[in-house]
Formats: sequence, C-alpha cells, structure tokens
Amino acid sequence: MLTPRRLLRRVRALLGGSRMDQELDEELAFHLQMDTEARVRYGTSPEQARSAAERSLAPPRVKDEARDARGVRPVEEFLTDLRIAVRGLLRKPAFTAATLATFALGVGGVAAVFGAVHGILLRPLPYGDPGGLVVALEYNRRLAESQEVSPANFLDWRERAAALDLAGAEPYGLDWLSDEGPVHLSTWLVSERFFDILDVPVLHGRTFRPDEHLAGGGQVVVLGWALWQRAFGGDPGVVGRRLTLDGQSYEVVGVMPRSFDLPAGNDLLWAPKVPQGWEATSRSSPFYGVIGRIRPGVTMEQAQADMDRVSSQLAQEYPQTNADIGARLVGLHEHLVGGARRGLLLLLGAVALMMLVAAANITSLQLARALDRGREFAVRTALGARRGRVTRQLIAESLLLAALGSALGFGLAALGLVAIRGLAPPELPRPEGLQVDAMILLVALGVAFGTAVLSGLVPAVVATRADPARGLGSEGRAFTVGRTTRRFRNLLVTSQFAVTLILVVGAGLLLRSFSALINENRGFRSDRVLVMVAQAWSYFPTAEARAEFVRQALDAIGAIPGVTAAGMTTAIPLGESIAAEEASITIPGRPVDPGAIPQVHLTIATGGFFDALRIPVTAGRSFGAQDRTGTGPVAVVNAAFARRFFGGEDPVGKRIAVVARGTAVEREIVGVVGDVRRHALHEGARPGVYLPHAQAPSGAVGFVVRTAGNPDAMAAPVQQAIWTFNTSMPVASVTTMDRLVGESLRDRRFLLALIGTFALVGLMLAATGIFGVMSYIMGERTREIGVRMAFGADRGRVLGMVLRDGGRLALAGILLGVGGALLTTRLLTGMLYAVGPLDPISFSAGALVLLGVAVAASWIPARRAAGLDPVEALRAE
Amino acid sequence: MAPPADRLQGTLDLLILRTLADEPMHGWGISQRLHLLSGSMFQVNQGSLYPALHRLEDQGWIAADWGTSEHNRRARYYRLTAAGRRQLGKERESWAAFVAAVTRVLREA
Repeated sequence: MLTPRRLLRRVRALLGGSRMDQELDEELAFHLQMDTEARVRYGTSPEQARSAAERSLAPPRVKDEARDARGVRPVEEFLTDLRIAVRGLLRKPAFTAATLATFALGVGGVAAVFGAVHGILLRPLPYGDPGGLVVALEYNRRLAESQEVSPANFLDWRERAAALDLAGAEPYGLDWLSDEGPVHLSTWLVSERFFDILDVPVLHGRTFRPDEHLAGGGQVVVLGWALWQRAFGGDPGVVGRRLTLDGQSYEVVGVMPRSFDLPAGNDLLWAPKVPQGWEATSRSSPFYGVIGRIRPGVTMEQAQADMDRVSSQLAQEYPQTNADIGARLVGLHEHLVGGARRGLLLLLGAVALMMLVAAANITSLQLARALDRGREFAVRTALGARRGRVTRQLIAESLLLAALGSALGFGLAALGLVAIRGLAPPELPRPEGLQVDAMILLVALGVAFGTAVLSGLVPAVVATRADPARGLGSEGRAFTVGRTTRRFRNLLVTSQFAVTLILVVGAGLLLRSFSALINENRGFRSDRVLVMVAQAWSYFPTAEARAEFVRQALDAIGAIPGVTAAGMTTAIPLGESIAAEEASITIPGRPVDPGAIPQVHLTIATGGFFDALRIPVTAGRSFGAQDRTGTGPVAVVNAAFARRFFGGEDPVGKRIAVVARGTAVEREIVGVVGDVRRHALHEGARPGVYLPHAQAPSGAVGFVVRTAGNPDAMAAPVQQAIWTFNTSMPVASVTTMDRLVGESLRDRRFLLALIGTFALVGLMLAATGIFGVMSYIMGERTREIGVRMAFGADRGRVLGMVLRDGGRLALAGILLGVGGALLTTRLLTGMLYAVGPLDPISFSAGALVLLGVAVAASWIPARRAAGLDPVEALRAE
Repeated sequence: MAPPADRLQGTLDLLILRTLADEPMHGWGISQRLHLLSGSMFQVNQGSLYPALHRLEDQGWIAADWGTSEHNRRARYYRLTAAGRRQLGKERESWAAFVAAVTRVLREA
C-alpha cells in the first residue's frame, strides 16, 4: 500500500537520489571497513582481508538492489528515458520541428475553438442558480412567431403566474450631459425584483428599493460595468454621485459586476421602471423583455403549463387583442446562446477535422522515425533490452513531444482566441467567455497527450515486433517495410486528403457565398458616405420644429466644403433600427380585404438621401423643396413595390393611402427608386414606400452625407454643424456606410476566416504528409528505379511513375472526400448565398486544388528519383 | 501458504526485526549478531542484508539515524519503530505456526 508517508519517502528518494546514494556508499564503506578489520583480527593479511570483504559485499549489486528496495527504479528509468528522448529529438531537428509544429497547429486550433464553445455555450451563466431562469415571450399564433411582451400582459402574467416569479425590462435611452458633451446612454428600465430574480450581488452600492418604482420615488440609476469603466474610470466613489440625464438629476446608487450583462451587455445603465397609466391597458405593442425564475420544486413543464393557463384566461378576457397570444418560456441559457450554437459547433467540427489531419501526420512522422531507428532498437533488443523497455522509451519520447506540443498549442490557442475575439460578429453572445482559462489548458493537454499516445502506439508496435536478426542483417537498411506498414501509411495519406477535401470544399462554398454577397447589387453606393444619428424628438417637440431643424441642418451640412450630398432617413441601410419602419397601404379604387391589408416597409427621407447613397431614380423624381406641408402629399416607391402593386404599369401619378402612426393619408406617387438592402446583404427586396420628411417630420434622424474625400475626416465638422441647432442633443452612431457593409458581413467573414484557416492548415499538413510518404517510398525503391533505368526507362518515365504513385494516393483520398463532403456540406446551408451546398464549382475546384497539392508535393521526390544515376542506384544497397 | 522465496525473505526480515528489538544497531552489527545468535549457522549475505534494511525502512518498520560507532566512526544505526514492533509480533506468530505445521507434516509422514 502506498501510504502518504511512503509516497513522501519515495519523492524524497527521487529528489535526493544522489544524497541517498552517497549515504548508501558511506554505509557500505563502513561495512567494508568493519568486515576487513574483523578478518584482520582473525589473522588474514590486510590486503587479502580487504579484497575478500569486497568480494562478499559486491557493491554494485548491493547498491542496485538497495535502491530498488526504495521503489523508485521505474521513475528513475523514466527520467533516463526522457533524457535519451531529449537527446534523440535534438539530434533530429527537422523531425522534431515538423512534429511540434503539427502538434501546435492541431492542438492550438482545437483548444481555441473549444475554448470559444466552452466560454459561450457550455459555461454556466453567471447568475444565481441559472437553471431556474427563463425568458418569457408572447407567442403570436397568427404569425407563428415569438415576440416580446406587451405591458398589460406582463402585469397580468406577473400577478397571476403561480409557478414563477417575473420581472420586465424596457429598452430606453437617457442623454447624459457629460463633461465632453452630450452622450446617449443605453438604458433599460427594469421592474421590481429584476435584480433579485437574477440573484447577483451588487459590486458597489445597492440596487433599487421598492419605493423607487413608484411615481415620484426618486431618480436613481445603477451602472453597468463597462459603462462604469469607460465613463467613470472604474471609480467606486461614483456611488452617490449625481448625473444630469435628460436634463434631470439622477443619483448613481450602485454598480453591477462585470459578469452582469442583461438584457443587452454591460455598457449601459438600469433605471427603475415606474408604471405609466396607459400601460395597464396596452396589449398590442410588445416591447417588454421579461425574465422569470421558476419557483423551487417546480419543473419547466409545470411552469409552462401555468403560463398556458394564464394566457388562455387573458385570451378569454381580452379576445380582441389576446385571442392569438400565448405565452412561451425559454430557458435563459438557450435564449442567449441558442442562435450561436450551430455556427460554433460547425467550427468545432471543422477544427476537429483539421486535428485529424494533424494526427495522421504525427503518426506518419513517428512511424518513419521508428522505422529509421529499427537498427538501434534491434541492437538494444539483441543486447537484452526487454520489449517493454523499448516501448517505454518510445512512449517517453511521445510524451515529451506531447508536453512540448501542448505548451505550444496552448500558446497558439491564446493567440487564436484573440483572433476569434477580433473577428467575432457583434451578435455573438457572451464575448467575455472568449478568454484563456484552465479549461483551454486542460483541452490542450488532453488533445496533445491523447494524440501522442495514439500516434505513438503504431510505431511502438512496429518497432518492437522487429526481429533483431533481420534488423541487424546484412541489408544496410535496417527495416524492410512490411506490406502492412506500407498500407497503413498509404491509408494515412489517403484519409488526410479525404478530410482535407471536406474542409477545402466547405471553405470554397463559404468563399463563393461571400464574394457573391460582396458583388451583389445592394442598391446603393457605400463608398465615402458618412452616417450619424440624432433622436430629435425631445429637443424639437413639434412637427414644425423638426421639419425646420432637418431642413436647416441639411443646408448647413451641405454647405461644408468637401460634402457633395447630404440627406436624412429613418432607415439607414444595414444600420440599426432608429424608428418604426412598418406601414400599411391601400390603393384607392381597389377592393380592400380587411384581414389582409398589405404591410410595406416605410422610410421617411429627404431627396438628399437618394443622392448621397446614389440610389437610382428609375421613374419620375425623388423629393424636393416643393414637397412640404401645404403642398400635395407625395410618396416615392421602390421597384419591388411597383412590381407588386402595379405590375407592368407605370406607378408615377397613381395614388395610394399610406397608414403610418395611425393616420391614413392619400398620397400621389411621384417617383420610383431602386431596391435597397435594408437589414442584410442577403435579404430579398421587399416593397417599400418613402415619405418626404417635411410632410412626415420624424424625430429619428439618420444623417447620410456623401463626401469628396475621407468621410471620417468630415465627422467632426458635420457633428458641429448639427450641434449649432441644439448643443445638448447627442449625435451618435457615427460611422461610414463602408463600415456598415463590413459589419453586416462580419458573421460570414468570421466563419469564412476560421474555416478557411483550418482548410489551409489541413492542406499544408496533407502536403507535408504526402511529401514524407513519397520521399520514403522513393528511398526504398532506389534500387528498383536503378534497374528500370538500366533497362532503358528514361527520366520522364521515372518522373511520371512517381507522380502517378503520389497522384493515385491523393485521388483515392479525394474521391473519399467528395463522398464525405456530399454528406456534410448541407450543414452549411443557412450560411450560403447564391450557391447550393452541392455547388459543382466548389467541389471540382477543391478536388483540383488537392490534386495540385499532391503533385506539387510529390515533385521533389520524383525529381530526385528521376535524377538518379543508375549505376549509383544499383550500388546503393 | 506463502511460497518459499517469500518465506525466506520473510525469515530474514523477522530475524532483523528480532535483532533490533534489543537495541539500535548498524548493518555490520546486525550481521554479526545474527551470526552469533544462530550459533554461526547464518552467514547473512550482505547483498541481502542492505536491500532488506532499506525495504524494512521503506515499509516504516525500522528507522535509521546516523550515529557514532563504538570505534568512533560514523555509522547508520537502525532501530525498531512502533509499527515494526507490532510487525515483529505478527511475524513471530506466523513463524511459529509455520514451524508447527512443518513439524506436524514431518512427524506424520
């Protein structure tokens, strides 16, 4: 039994090995001395006595056995093996570098992606008992869609639900008059119990008291961590400070910890929701985010049943609004990360494929090395080394490689995570999970050691099965490669090509989708366009004031040197939503089906908007100064609208009634413009109607400014021009159209960059794999090639023969890979654009690339073979 | 019954433990004492003695300290630990049982 005390002794024996050896020497010397003296006392001469004593003691054996009795021999042997392994690896720098690089790439890739998967998908949420947290949504049966919750429904749910505790949060914004000018702060108004339900202790100060949720209860806010860091330098003294928000004084009462990021990150603040009178009856404008905590002992199904009961009560009580409205509970974790799961798992699959290619390479390298060392092992076996001893030596080397490989891989994973963080699309949930942690180290170690053991097994078997007589035989080359071994190596190369082909085809499909999207006609020109947003409602409360503000601000911006066109819109293409964008329309003279009034996309804009974005006016005109209050109401429609509602007819001059904000106004269509991609480059065109701002003066103003030079340089002057009309109104979301286009492609670029990288690494590994195997085979066949050349085969023929051999291996892999890709590329379906998952161009291009790589990698060994001098080759062995 | 090799090794262990039960001793002293006590019958091979001492030490039955020998030399003195004393008792009993069994077999056969 290995008691702790004995373990301690062994450790001491190991660490103090030399000291204990010394002690043993001393003890034995004492014994020798005593023995000699005793013999002398009995009359033997001192010299004879000494040698007799030495014989009886036989020190080396005594020492070995005494040391064995300490139970540290296996460890000491292992350390010896390690020393030998280090020396061996240093002697073969090319092999060592190739193996370590392969390890690092494979292990680093897997660890980085697994780190992301763990940080985002698997890591528990940072809230108290996260399993009991849910998001409650309205389920609209008519649209078959989940949606947020209307205020009155939320209030009733909260009161009637017995199985769970609910709290709501409403998106809001507060304008802060900071020392550096007005800043718009993302704000969520949260109901009572919001912080209690999530159960996270406050970092500084406190959360809201119940009385602060009552009208006149005092104006207080709690800061999110990122906002606290960014705007207040992380100073805990901010608690108790008063801020001027929307012109009123608010007190900061608390700061939440970094991990608290609901409902939308932590660069925001929370303020207590004070119920408004009208909300108690509002059941058709869903804007509340509702979270809940299931009471202890209640299952998710019971909670859902409870909500079903409540929502059907409400459907009976308020049939007009609630007949089609159910309630749906979704686990908070699922709600947050469900959307990212597919992409992340796809990446994990891709990187696992790459790791397979890497593992095949490592196995192949180890095998080649074991074969090269056949003679060494044969000698050792012949001298009496046990088979286990030789295997242990190989394992020591594998473990050493794995240890170094996992260290390198861990470093690479850390870099990889930085890259993933940089590339990650903004909608990727829980980005704080993308960091190096113990889990990544564990994965790196696990993958590296698993690979080392598996890839070390085959060579160990090959090496120890070796018959010393054959290994030492007259043939110069220690090992003639058995047919099994050769088949095994061919199998490795073939499977590498198969797996790599899947990666290359996948990357090709994504690449073709990406380039199709970039080249897609998006309906506007994005270069050199500056955009920024102001919410002018509270600063220009009347319609007249807003119309006047927009007209004057655009005049002022247009007068700035370097600005070539300026306009406004309530819907910046590819930008965030800043205003309502839905309208229903009727066409006078056509029958109206009250159950199916057409909904179209609504944009309020000025004529300058079309100029600045170069949106083509294909018929009639866009808006001008003549379109204002007092003149006839007009509208511009897009091409999709014209097609849908007027077919082949010219819509210019036709009249439509547009219902926006509850009032219907009959308008004359004065122009048709091209379709514009509003939310994403891959979306189809939707019928849309444009209203002139002067006739529908929205407070949501997206400024769109075309500049002659660098648009970023114009940001400050344009902002200044807007601020001349009101100094305390924030002008936010300053960016360029090019950047918005880039952002909208970020998720695709993310996937493409990662899978593309994995495919490239896979290609490189497959290339080195086939290069190694072909070089090896050529080395073996030197004599055969000599014979062939002696019988008249010319260089071209030899070259062709070798290339054909390499090509055949690759081709088998490519065929297998095409099969695999046919089965797997459909996983990409949702991420492709304008190409199908079985796109023949991607498939054939992938196959050609791999074949090219195989031929290129076989070229050097082939040239070497063709350059052989037949006489030399025949003598070679 | 334990195989003979174990029994023999066990015998040496038992003898060492018994020798050390009287007083702490160095390796040389133990070999001399065994020689003496056995009426010169046991000439303990040093190649067995030191491994045995280290094994017993590893098992915690004896402990060793450096001391000064009767001739003023540094020597490693072994002494019995409490666990060793218990082990000695156990081994004595098992030895007695072994001897009794062998004797019985010899008498009956």
